[in-house]
Formats: sequence, structure tokens, C-alpha cells
Amino acid sequence: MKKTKLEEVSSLIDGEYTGDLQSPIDGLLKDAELRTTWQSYHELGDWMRGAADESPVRVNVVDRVRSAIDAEPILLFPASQSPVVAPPPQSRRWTQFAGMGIAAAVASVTVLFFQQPGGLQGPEEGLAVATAPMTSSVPAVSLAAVGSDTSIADEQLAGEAFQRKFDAYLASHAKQSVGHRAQELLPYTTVVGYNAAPGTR
Amino acid sequence: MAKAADPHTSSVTNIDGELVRRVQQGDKAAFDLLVRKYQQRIGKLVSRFISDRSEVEDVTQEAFIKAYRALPNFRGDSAFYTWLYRIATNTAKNYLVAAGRRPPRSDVDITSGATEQGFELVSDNSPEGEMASEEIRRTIHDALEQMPEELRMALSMCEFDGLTYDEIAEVMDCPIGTVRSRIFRARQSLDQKLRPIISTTEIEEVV
Amino acid sequence: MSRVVAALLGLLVVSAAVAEHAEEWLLRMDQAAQTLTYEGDFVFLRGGQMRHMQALHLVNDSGTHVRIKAVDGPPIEIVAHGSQVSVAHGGQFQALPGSRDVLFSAVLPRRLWALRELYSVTLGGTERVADRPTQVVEVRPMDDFRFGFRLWAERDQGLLLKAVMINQQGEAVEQYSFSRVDFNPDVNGQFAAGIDEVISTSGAESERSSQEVEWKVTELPKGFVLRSVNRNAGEQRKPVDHLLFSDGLATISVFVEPLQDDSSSVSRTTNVGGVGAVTGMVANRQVTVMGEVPAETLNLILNSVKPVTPAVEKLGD
Repeated sequence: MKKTKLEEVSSLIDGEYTGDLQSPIDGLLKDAELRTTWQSYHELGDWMRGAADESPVRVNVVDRVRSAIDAEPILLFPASQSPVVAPPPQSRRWTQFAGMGIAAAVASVTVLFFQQPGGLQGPEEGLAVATAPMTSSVPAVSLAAVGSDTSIADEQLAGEAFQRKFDAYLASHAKQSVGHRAQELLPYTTVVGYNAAPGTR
Repeated sequence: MAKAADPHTSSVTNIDGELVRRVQQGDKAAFDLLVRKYQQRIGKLVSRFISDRSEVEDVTQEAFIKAYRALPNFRGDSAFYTWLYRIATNTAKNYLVAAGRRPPRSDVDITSGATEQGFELVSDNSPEGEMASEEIRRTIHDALEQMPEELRMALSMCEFDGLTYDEIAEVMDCPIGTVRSRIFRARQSLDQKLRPIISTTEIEEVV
Repeated sequence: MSRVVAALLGLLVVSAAVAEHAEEWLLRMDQAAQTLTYEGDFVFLRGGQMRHMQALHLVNDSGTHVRIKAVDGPPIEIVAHGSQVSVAHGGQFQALPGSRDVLFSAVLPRRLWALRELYSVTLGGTERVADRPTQVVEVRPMDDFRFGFRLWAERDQGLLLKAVMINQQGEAVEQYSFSRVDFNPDVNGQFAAGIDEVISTSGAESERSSQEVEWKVTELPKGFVLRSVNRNAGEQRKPVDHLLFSDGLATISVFVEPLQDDSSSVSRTTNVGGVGAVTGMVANRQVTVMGEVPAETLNLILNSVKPVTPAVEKLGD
């Protein structure tokens, strides 16, 4: 019965489908209406959580992508190398804080920095790479395109101002974090441990 | 093939993983399901970099195609969506660089942080676009209000609070089957109200 | 906080014999960290850089006192008494702004079931750290929006002696380890002396009630809950709103302030350990998201910061 199938799609989307995944996925692949429902329900969730309301653009690229991929070679990943794919970031598990959103114009985003792994691997694709300290083997990549046009004095000024700001943020962050991390001292050690001489950060 | 029990995954069944596995075994149609699932989120991400609607769609499409081509390299040690997110960000940035787009020097306010090469400021989209999304928002809001309480509660707990069916059943003091059914009926109801607004030719294709 | 206070607040006292389940070790670590008096030397490692520090954690009837001092590198010292915290960079101590509101108080015990939904906690073997036997606890996140941890808890006291923060690729991004720990330190000794005096003379800000929340975050990974709201005086006395979220093991801060007319918003690339940050312009403000989570999480949160009402946005002009 069709209704059962549709209800299965609903459960599937929530990760609450009990049973072998093969069967409902097969069903989705064969039935246009089930596919459309799959798409609609996901989109409903996006709208409800305000994921789509920030920009007025509602995209529809399903057909275009399908045609493009039809022209691509078929992928054949050797079975022996099939990776175990990690579970998705539980996109169903977003918590919405304080109701539905009001559109905000995010004018631009500047990635300041992010964690640097042990230094043995290259930069993560698509993310800013932190400049390495002298002891690390990871090459430095500068994000600031502005850097190519601004004077060195400007950069230094910006760097110092930024460092002050980062220190202030980190201190506030640490102060409020006490009690919420695995060890009460950790936030304090963060402040102390991240303090560095100017220019070596 | 039964899903191997992994104590480190929660009750969320690994749909993305299964779909990716199928694509890697040659099933292109499985990729279509991933596109349908993530296109709005990727579209939103891309529109942070690019303001023109049709260009957003172009770049979104390109991001998915790039992802498809890169799937043999996908190691599966991060989630598919995280990986797709990175590809989309890259694609958007490269698009701007290739289009030679850079805000004019005099207009670059250094405090706006537009230091990534060629990032555009997202400006308001077309009035039609804005009205359409406003209408969608309003429709969903009204539909949620008009829905019977127990349906709305179940769906809200699922979508907003991220509770499992088990947890919702506990909160609402009803069997899991009832939770499943309520969430489904809530979605049905929203879907029915939404479909007429979203252009039907977009969603319902004949295959 | 003394044991009496802890008991009054309903914290479980979990002894080693009972804490067989991995998650209970987390509870044990919590209590130990909050109720024990200890002193020690430890090492802090991030991105190839190492700092050595000396720390004192003293709990008595007048509350909790902390002192941490870097013993190599540029001088820096942090001192705390209760929720008042002051920092000195080789010179005068200055109070850090912000209050920890009792409503969101850190003393609320972690709900085990909540953590269970977010992290998979298992016991590893036993190892020696700082010349003590410790229990290894593996904490693996259930999603890609947070880091994992490997924790070493002292077997008898439960205190966390070593911790490693692990990214999605399984690499250590930050590490913290005691090399020496003393559970019976000289609390009248030099290192302990003067903590109260520092706090009272460094002009600690008075406690304030939590602010009205003017900002909201519409996309948060599961389990992250608002824990504190503060409005602090930032540079040039312009106010900085600070929201702090936590899932029990990791914390994320959202800072919202007026756009600066200096160049401090320009991006810099920096090498840090487990703490990342992203910044951008949202609703006419400079918004920065910082926390012990992967960059994707920071980005996703930044994208979803919104003013509660449109009027708030206009105030930014």
C-alpha cells in the first residue's frame, strides 16, 4: 500500500527505519513519487529549521545534475576497497534555539584559523590552513588576499590588533567554560597555553 | 545485507553511507537521492558567496558533479555531508576567482573581512525570490499552527529538538508506532500545503 | 566547592568500586576536578608547541581557588577564586569580565543520558601518568561536528591527569598531561599565597545577572545548550555580547560586537591546537564563533547567528 511506503520514507529520513536499508532504498530508486516525497520531506525540514530561509534562493538542480552525471563514466570502486562510510553529521539532530530565524545578511565570512593537526598531513581540502610554527612541517598558506596589496606595516598592525582580540575572546571563552569541560583546569590552561610571543602565533 | 552493528553509531541508520556505497558500485541513481537531500543546504551555502540566483544554481550543480567525480577518493572517515560541504565551498571560491571577481579596491572595507580573494558581498536577491521564500515560510508557519497539537508536537520534537522516536514516545506517553504515524501525517499535511507553492514542474518529473 | 556543598547540590559521590561503567568515570572526573585540592606540574601541547605550567587547585570553605602559571615561554599567570578570574602577562593582574550566572550554573551535574546521545564512552586499559595508575577512557563523538577525546583518570582519586583531543582524522590536536601531581600540597606555601589578594585588588567585576538574549543561533549540533550570556565591555568600551554553549565536554562561544573601525577584523592565519574560531559580518555586527570543535561546526554556527528581532539589527548602525 502506497501510504505504508510513504511512511517508510518518513522514518527513513529520521534514521528510524527498522530493518534492512536495501529494501526502502530500492523502493526510492524505482518509484518517482517516493523520490519526490524524499526530496520534499528533506526540504520541509530545511525550511522548518530555518536552514533555507537565510537566502531567498531556492535551488533546483536535480534534473541538471542527473543529466550531467548520466554523461559521466560509471564509478566502479573495487569492492575490496569500499570504505566504511562514517555516519552523517546527524543532520536531523539539529537543535533549534529560540524559534525560527529572521533573515540576516551574512556579508562575508573570514576564516581566521582552525586546529592544526600533528603536522604530518597536508592542509584539509577547502579549509584555511594555519601557518605552522617553526617546528612543524606543514607549509604555511596565507589566507589574506588583502596581504598582497597592503603594506607590511598594515599587516603588522592588523596582526597585533587581531592577536589582542583573539586573546580577549579566548579569555572570555575560557572563563565561561569552567565546569563544562572534562577537567576544571582545562579552560585556564587554554588561556595560558595559547599565549605566545607576538608573531609566533 | 544486514547492517553491521557498530556500537559507536547511534540509532540513526547510516543512509548516506549506504547511498554512497551504491554509487561507488556503479549505481548513479543513488547519487540522485543525495542531491535531492542536500541541494537546499548546499544552495544556501553557495549563496553566501554568490548573489545571482542562476549562478548559485550553476555552482551548486557543479559542486554536486565534482562530488560525484571525487567519490572514488572519498575515504569515508568523515561524513558525506561534511565532505560535500567542503567541496561546495571550494567550488564557489574557485568560481569567483575564475570569473575574475573581486570587489573594487576602493569599496573593500577592511573591516568587512572580505579578504578571501574575489568574495562577493551577498546582496538582496530578486524581489520575486524574496517573496517566494517569504510565502513558503508563511505557509509552513500557518500549516504548523493549524495542525492538530499531537502532530505538531511530534514533528517539532523530531525536527527541532532532534529527539529519537523512542524519546518522543516517552515524552508523549504513547507507543513508538503512534509517533511514527504522527510525524508522517504531520509531514503529509505540510507537504500538501507546500507543493502548490513550489513549482510543480520542478519537483514532479516523469521518469 | 567543598564536599558538603557538593552533596547539597546532589552530586553523586561515585567511588572507584562503583564506577565500572565508562560514563560514570566522566562523572567521577567532574567531581574530582571540582572537589579535590591538588597541585602539580603539567605540559600543554598544541600544534608542535609545548608549554610547561604549574597549577594549584585549592578547595576550602571559602570556595575554589586556582592558580596556573607558565614556567617557560612568555610569562603568563591566571588566578581564580570562585567565578572571579584575573590574568597577568608578567605585570599587573587584570580581572576578566563576565559573570557566571547561577541560573546557567556550571554546578549542574551532567546528565549521563544526554552525554550518551552525543558521545560513545568506553573504557580503555590502565596506564601510568605522573607516576600514578590511571584508567583510560575513550570518548568518541557520535557525529562529525565535535572532537573525540582520550582521557586518563587517576584510578583512586578520579582526577583527570591527561587528556588528548582528537580530530576526525584521528590526529591529536591538543594534549594536556600532568608530569607530577600532589594531592596533599602545602596550601599555605608560596604558590598558594596571595590568590585572594590578587583577586580583590585586580578589580574583579561584580557579578551581574544574565542579560536578555538578543542573539540566537538557529543551527547547533545536538546537545549544545546555552550555558551563559554576558555583555562585556570590549575595546573602546563598546559592548560585546557573549553566548556560551556546551554539550558537556566541548564549549562554543559566540561573540557579537559592533564592527570595528580598526583593522582587527582582517583575517590572520594562526596555528592553534584544539580551539578554532571563525569571524564574519552578520546583521551589521562582527560575529566570532570560537570553540573546541571542528571548523565546519564553527562555520555552520556562524551562518546561523541571527538577531532575535529586526530592531536589534538596526541598532548596529
